[in-house]
Amino acid sequence: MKNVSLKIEGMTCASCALNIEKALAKVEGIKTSTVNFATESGTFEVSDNLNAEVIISSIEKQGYSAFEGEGPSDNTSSAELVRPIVSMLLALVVFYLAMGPGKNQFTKQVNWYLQLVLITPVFFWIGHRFQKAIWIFLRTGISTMNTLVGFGTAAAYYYSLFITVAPEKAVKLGMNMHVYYEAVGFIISFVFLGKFFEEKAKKKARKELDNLLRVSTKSAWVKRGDEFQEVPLEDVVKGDVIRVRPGEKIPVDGKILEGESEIDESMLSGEPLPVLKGKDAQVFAGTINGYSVITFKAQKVGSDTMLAGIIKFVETAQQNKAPIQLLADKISSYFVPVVLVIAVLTFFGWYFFGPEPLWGNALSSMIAVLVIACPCALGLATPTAVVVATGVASKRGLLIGGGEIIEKGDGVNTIIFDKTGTLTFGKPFVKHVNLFSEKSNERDFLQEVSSIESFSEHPLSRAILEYAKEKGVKPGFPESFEVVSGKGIKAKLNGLEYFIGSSRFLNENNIVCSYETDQSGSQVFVAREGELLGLIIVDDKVKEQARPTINKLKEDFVTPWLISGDNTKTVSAVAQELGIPEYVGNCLPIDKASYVERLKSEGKKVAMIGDGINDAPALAKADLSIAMGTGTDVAMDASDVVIIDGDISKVDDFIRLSRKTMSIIKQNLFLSFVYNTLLIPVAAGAFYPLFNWTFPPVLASVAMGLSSISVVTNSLRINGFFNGTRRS
Amino acid sequence: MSGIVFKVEGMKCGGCKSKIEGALKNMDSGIETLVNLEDKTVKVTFEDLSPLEIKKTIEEAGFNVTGMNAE
Ligand SMILES: [Mg+2]
Repeated sequence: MKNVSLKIEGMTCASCALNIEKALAKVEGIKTSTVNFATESGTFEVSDNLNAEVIISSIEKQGYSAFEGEGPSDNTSSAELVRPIVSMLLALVVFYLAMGPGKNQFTKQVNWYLQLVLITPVFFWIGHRFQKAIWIFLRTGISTMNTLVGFGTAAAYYYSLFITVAPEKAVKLGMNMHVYYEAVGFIISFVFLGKFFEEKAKKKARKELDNLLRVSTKSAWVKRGDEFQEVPLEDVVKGDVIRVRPGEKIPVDGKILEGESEIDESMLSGEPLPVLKGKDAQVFAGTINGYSVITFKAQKVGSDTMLAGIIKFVETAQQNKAPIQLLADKISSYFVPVVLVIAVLTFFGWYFFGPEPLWGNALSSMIAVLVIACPCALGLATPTAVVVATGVASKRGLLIGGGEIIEKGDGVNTIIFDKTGTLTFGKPFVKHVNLFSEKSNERDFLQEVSSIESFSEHPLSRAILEYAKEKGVKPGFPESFEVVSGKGIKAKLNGLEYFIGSSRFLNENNIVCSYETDQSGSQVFVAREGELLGLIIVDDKVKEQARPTINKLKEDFVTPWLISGDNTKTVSAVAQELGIPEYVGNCLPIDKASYVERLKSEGKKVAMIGDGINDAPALAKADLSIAMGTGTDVAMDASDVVIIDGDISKVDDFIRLSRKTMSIIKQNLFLSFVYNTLLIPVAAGAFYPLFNWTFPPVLASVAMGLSSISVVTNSLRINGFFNGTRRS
Repeated sequence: MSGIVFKVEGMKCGGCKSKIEGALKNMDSGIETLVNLEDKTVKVTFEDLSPLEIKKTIEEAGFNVTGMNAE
């Protein structure tokens, strides 16, 4: 058995992925297949003699494309550009022949044939997907923007084709002798141009989850016989005794047998301070061992570890994410059937009540309805607004991955915040210094403490040093110093003996240390020559922008939640400080995701904001996910929006920008439909009985121009969105 | 001349030993280093350098300094 990984393109939703899996299950030699829609990839367990080509051709039989390695997605941007450029160039030549100076250069017949030759590749090659959309509509009744474009262009193309190749017959039938080739060209070009804009806006496409896998180690020191050997991670089994040296990652989940060490579990809890763990304590794969050696017994290995659980969760959550139906498609799904009914009514109206020639008039009018109904600017309505909005956003330090994300942002009414690193800096700061001795002042005290702490790499020491530096204190050097792992530091400075650390550490060294405080944070006690000198409280700090942001969100009718891996006491303090009524503490990564799930099941549109690996499952589950650019890559990969500098106030900026952009998109859709819709009655011949008007085909071009200009101009209005707002 | 004994975690063999010696020599050729793998100590004799710089150098070479003692 071997594993084959492929890139798969052309999937439009999670059920495509299922279809491929189902189809491949029937292929001999393929044992299992896992296809991921979100990452556009698949992994297949196949027998050794099976060639990757077999899998690829089986996938291609299903109508998708597959590649080994990175596939052609590297050059998509230039390939994406080829189609709109070719199609636009051809359309312009056709326009020149149809309405420009080229109009009278050839005989009408030659002119039409030239147009036909130029526009046929645009229609069949570049516009292939629109004809496919017609078939999908006929088979399933599902209509999208593509269906509308498909009907309009197909009607225009085939009608013009008929007139071109069989003009005598057309004249005999009494058809309106006008070709619509340039309309076919421009409509298809515009849609592709819009598509290109949209792709360009998706600068940061969905990345793979490799970053999560990188969190784990490749090997472990396992006891084999009497000594420890380095073995590949795959060979570690339950019950193995494993040794982890200082600074190394813990390879699998288990229980400590020997040793005591501070372990960095930020991956699971999001908290920056390491946790002291001793005999019988649980350790987890991917977390980082601190200063001393520990030996532990493997309890969960491979896909059973907590880390593997998180990876799997994020993967499946992304897979099952239903794509939202874009507004343009939603409108089209109503518009298409209505237009078809009007077209048919037009045909019969002319056939039964119109003047001779019955067939010619009925057919010409029906085609006119279909052609005019196709809103040329429809393809531009969303992408132009999205491009301008993402441009404005990136100038403000917000990375947005595309149009759907703006639609999702517009609907959000509940935002779940992670605490540490998101609402707070996620970095310990000195909050309070308390001196117990009359003999000392704060400056001398800091001088002594920072001299000793400068030799320690512990996050608490770093915080104290930074504070001393702010106060202008220059640390000196101790004569001796010793780290007592997880407890504190023992040092000698100017001939005096110091103990700095937890109250337990001081008590163990026969220094009476009992001090009660209701302040949250870590307590660092300082004793000199057996006498308690002072206490330093170190705590995470709430970002200045957090409170105003929460208030603004509430004004914008978004309910904030606070869900954290930190203890409930701290979480409740921060929630109260910020005015967040709903909060939960002590949450494991998967717990966070289940809260997202619960709120979604209550019908809320949930956005999740976080910075850590521990937020990744919740980010993947949420309707909209926002990551802090100051956080981990894993969180950013699992997210739709990245706030580059971690400025929390930009959350509200994003929500307001997406609301604004959505209203512009709605106006654009209205603008792209209105000219064409108004002309439908004219095309259908509603004014014929009164004024003897039939449809002048030039009106199609006028409507096309007006709607496109209106849409683009309207989208550009987003440019000024942040003007006049205060930059923080 | 001052001498400091550092407690260093993570030294296993002669390779680690020469790595630390090399790194410290790089700082200042006048430096004298005595590595004791058994006791997990590194004794450094030096002039015109701060103990903190020496500690940083040992750490940058990939080891953890957990203690120090001036002689
Ligand atoms: Mg966090």
